[in-house]
Amino acid sequence: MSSATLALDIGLLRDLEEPSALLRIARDEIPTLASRLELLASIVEENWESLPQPLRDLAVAYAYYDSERYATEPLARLKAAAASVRLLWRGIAYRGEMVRLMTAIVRLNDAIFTALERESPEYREHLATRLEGPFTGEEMTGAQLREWMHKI
Amino acid sequence: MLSFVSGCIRYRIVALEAFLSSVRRVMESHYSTDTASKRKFVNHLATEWETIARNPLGVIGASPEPWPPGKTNSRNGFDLYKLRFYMPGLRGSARRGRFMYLVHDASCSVFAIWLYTHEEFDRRPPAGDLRDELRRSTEVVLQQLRGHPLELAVPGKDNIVLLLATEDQASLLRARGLTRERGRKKRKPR
Repeated sequence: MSSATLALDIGLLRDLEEPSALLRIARDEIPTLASRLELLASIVEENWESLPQPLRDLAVAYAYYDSERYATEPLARLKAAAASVRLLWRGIAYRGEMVRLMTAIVRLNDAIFTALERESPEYREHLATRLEGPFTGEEMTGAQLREWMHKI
Repeated sequence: MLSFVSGCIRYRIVALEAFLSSVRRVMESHYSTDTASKRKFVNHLATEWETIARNPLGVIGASPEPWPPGKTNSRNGFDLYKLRFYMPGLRGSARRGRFMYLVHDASCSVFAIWLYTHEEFDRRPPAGDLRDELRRSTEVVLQQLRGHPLELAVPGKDNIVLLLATEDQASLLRARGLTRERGRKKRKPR
């Protein structure tokens, strides 16, 4: 059976954090990039512990920067808004390709945050306590939950 | 996304006391003053609740979660799932909401066990400016890759290796047709 080595320019992780970078990627490169990011996400999901520490540090910086930049950089919010309009247009023009790329980016971000949670001893302890049982409680519908939450 | 055919038309959802406590804590921490966002959050969770009641194994944004300390998400007929969603009106790691639930197919039951935000397990790098940290850590990795591109095995795909490389190395492979074929070569057509 033959095997294939697919290359991903790791510098793209840094560049992808700028919305304008998404505008510079050629249309025929988008599916290729999306598939590479999907593969990287599956590696993070399954084998986070086996990744070299510098790569994990980069992944963590990437994921947190994405979460925080809009809160800390007013100029970035303006730029992002302007880029979003152009991205929206691109999204309409290249709908299938852009949806796949954005989905891959979201999946990669989620995979990194999930890996960090699973690494945390506090997380494992919290979860183990909740999984001990017994699983008894109050049966609720969505409407009942809504009513209960409104009282808080 | 995994999805299984089940004999249950609808699942009953049981909210454990620990779950209700976690919801109360999240709401008091994040929505005690912002009533508009609180309303959105309440409606969002109630909507997800109904979606889970219809098909807990096929909810968009939910995936199997390993049952610690193992790698599988099933134990004694219970399947553990984690739903990821965005918390309305919140920023940073608090924006990333998680809802964990157990599915017991034999009794058509779901047990809501925990709601939290990623902020509770925050691992943000200590650097003040994350953009600088991102650039710095990228340079460290690129420096290492210049000598030795990193080959990573892709889970579940024995015939694919992902090569993390610098732009130059990636371009070189792209020029060769995006992939570097290894092993048995395809026979040329006559």
